[in-house]
Amino acid sequence: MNQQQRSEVTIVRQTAARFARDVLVPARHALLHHPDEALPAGLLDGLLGLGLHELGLEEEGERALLGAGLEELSRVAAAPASLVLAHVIARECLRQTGALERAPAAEGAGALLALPLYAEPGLGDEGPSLRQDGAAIVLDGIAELVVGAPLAGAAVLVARDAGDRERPALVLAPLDAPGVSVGPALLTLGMRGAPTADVRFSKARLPATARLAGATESGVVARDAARRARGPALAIAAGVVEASLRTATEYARERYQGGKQIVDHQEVRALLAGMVEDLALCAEAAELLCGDALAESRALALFARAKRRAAHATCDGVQLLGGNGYMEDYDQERCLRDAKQAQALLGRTDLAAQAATEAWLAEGAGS
Amino acid sequence: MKFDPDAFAAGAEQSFAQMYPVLAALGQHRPRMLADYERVLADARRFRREHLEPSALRVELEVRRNPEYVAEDIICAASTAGFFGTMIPKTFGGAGLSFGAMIVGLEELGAGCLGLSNLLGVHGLAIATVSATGDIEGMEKVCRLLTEGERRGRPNLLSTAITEPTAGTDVEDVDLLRKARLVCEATPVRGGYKLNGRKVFISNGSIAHTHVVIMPTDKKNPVETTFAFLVESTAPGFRVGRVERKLGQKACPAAELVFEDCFVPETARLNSKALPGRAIELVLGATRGGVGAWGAAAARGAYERALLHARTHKVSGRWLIDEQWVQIKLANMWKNVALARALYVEAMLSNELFGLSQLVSGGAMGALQQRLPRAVLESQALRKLVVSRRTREALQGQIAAMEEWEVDTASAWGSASKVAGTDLGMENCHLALEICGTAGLRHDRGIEKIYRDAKLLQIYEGTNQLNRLEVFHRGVLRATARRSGGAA
Ligand SMILES: Cc1cc2nc3c(=O)[nH]c(=O)nc-3n(C[C@H](O)[C@H](O)[C@H](O)COP(=O)(O)OP(=O)(O)OC[C@H]3O[C@@H](n4cnc5c(N)ncnc54)[C@H](O)[C@@H]3O)c2cc1C
Repeated sequence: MNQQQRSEVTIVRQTAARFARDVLVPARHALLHHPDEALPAGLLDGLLGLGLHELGLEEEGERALLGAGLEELSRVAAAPASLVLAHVIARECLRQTGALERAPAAEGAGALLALPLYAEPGLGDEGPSLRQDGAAIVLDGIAELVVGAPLAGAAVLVARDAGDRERPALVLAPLDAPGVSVGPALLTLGMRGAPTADVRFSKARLPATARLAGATESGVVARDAARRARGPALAIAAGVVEASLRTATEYARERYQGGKQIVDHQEVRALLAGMVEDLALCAEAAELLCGDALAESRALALFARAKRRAAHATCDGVQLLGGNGYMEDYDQERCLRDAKQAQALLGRTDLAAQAATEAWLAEGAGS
Repeated sequence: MKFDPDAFAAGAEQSFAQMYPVLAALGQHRPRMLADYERVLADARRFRREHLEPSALRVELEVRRNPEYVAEDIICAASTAGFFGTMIPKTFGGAGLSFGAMIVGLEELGAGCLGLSNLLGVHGLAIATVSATGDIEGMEKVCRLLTEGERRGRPNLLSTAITEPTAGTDVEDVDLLRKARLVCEATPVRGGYKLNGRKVFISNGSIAHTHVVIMPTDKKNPVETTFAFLVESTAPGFRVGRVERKLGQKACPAAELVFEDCFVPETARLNSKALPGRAIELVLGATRGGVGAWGAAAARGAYERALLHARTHKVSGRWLIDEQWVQIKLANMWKNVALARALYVEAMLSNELFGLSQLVSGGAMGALQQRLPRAVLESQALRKLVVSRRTREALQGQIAAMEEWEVDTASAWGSASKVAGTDLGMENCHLALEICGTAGLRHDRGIEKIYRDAKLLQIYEGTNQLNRLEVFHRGVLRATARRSGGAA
């Protein structure tokens, strides 16, 4: 990273940190209790005002800026960062398929794109099925846990093409089209405050252009967009671990048990040491993955391991605070939930690890 | 390996002997005990299917909206099923079963919902605490609160208040207690005591009728002056403070208890020596095994849900259960359940041999429970005989006569099973979320809830950090010292 890029990263960090402090901190209760409680007016506009969602995944420099911004937000709440990430990945799919101009033209949150952010990229788990009908395509079934769906104008998702041996088909679906309905905002483990819902398609007829790519290309595009998003996704986890470690460290200095600050108990030090290790792994990996330097096998393996460690670190963060860690007041429980949900970003860690092995073998390793 | 649903259906629900091979073997020597355990398991299983599982997610949502919500319907249903009286002696209106039988039931309920299981089971800590004082009058009082209430359809719940805002780990260990920064004190006054201070995170604290409150009469000398007090929630100067908003186990409220010149009569203080030392060791040696059982329950709840998910969902057109990576994970989860269970069963049996259970359900008391018909056991004549100064002195004599190594053995097993069981429980939660992918993240599928619920098990009844140190002191160190002939 050159001097210019470094100073840009600093500016993005500072802007995002200010937004986190001035807007997200006061909105903490609503964020924690969404969807039971509505998000404060102005939060989404403020988020969009940061411009992070306009950064692309194509260039390494922009990915680094995005990662820096998302990390700062996630120290206070990872939910808004996950909304931005979903939108940016969806836009990358549009860019790669030459469909950027088809993104919704609405103002405000309506301009957002929603995405099933926790599904395996390009696998089309058990998503909706797609059938060609003359000049139209017809979608049927449910896309689960689509991040941003209750707000967004459209969603990018993977359907299974019934006519092509159930192979994946990347689709841009307007969420107000006939036959498309967005379910109620769902309660999730973490990232509460990122409105997320199931999207149901009931014989929804969309123009053929809604299909962004053919079978082979769809999988490639979805996976490539996800590949480019790994760094920023991991930056979310790193932000959460940083917050957890900071709270844990302060608490370890303030709390007395056994006649001394608990930071002076070796078991507590061991918890802190593990968290420092995990944070180093996550933060460094996030930065590395924003770049293009790593071979695919290493990138995938690092991504899987770092996400897993982030979840473990925040469990230790709760543990270090004892009973207080279990309570909403201290933010450690939020970190535990957000980090565990972040572990599922872009799919299961186990499948990422398997893909890493495949890449390792394909790269001709050991031969 | 391809999953064969027909072969699976044949072994879907494990029998008692499959779940507890050690006990089944033991049952050949003590068939009566085995029959009790099996009955409790069957009853708990029915209750879990009929009441707990259908309500668990609904109750969570209610508490999310209002932390003071209480699942009265579940409490009443458990009351009708006689659950609260399981481990209460027949003389006091209970079923007269052992602590171990109760734990087997708690594993089953916990696999359905840890929060509701805690709501229905946490009174066990109060009963254990009162039992460990040897105060038979106090025992009768707390037991009857449960059983007589149960007969009327709603038991009077109990809570146990040990933790203070500035002393959590410190009040769980006698050596640490000397250095604790305590805020609570029970000052002797004419005719009784005035209690002052705050207790925090007390399970069922906001809904209990009576609280077993642990306080020193001189907070500068807690080791020699800490006693148990029975405080009713109507006592003047007592109030419930905040009810916590917490990560999980939402069905079981955790509350702050505030004592402001709270007067209790002399009789409220249980008649015993100071609790730190023998009595607290006996209590925790017994109840930590119970938390180990909840660890097994968490492991099992996670395993059962992951298995169901794997059988009913596909990735890339293939059933998850036919994927080797999933099969290996499920195998590990099964193993974790077995390990957690094996350890708590050891802890439970060691507690029956060496710990608190030998006082409550073993010895002469136990023999009476087993042999005499209920009518005799519930008769006024026998009650008078049992609830007497002589029994109290006998029990307290028995407690004092217990050998150090006996208490250490029960404590080491209790702590080991707590640490191992709860860690394995958490491990299975991680594995379940991995298998279930997107479904694991949503509340309506009931998988992420176990993860949040299980985390508490590593914290309460002494953090796992403290319990590891307990295993070191009571298992490693004292055993080694004895072998080499040195003093522990
Ligand atoms: C939901 C819930 C329900 C509860 N229910 C009850 C109840 O019914 N009754 C009751 O009395 N209490 C209850 N508790 C309290 C519980 O038992 C305590 O939270 C627990 O004992 C830990 O104490 P603490 O929270 O004060 O943590 P602390 O003691 O402050 O510990 C903070 C950290 O320091 C570490 N630490 C502290 N001392 C040492 C040491 N000497 N060596 C090494 N590490 C150390 C701990 O492991 C922990 O990681 C409940 C707690 C919760 C969260």
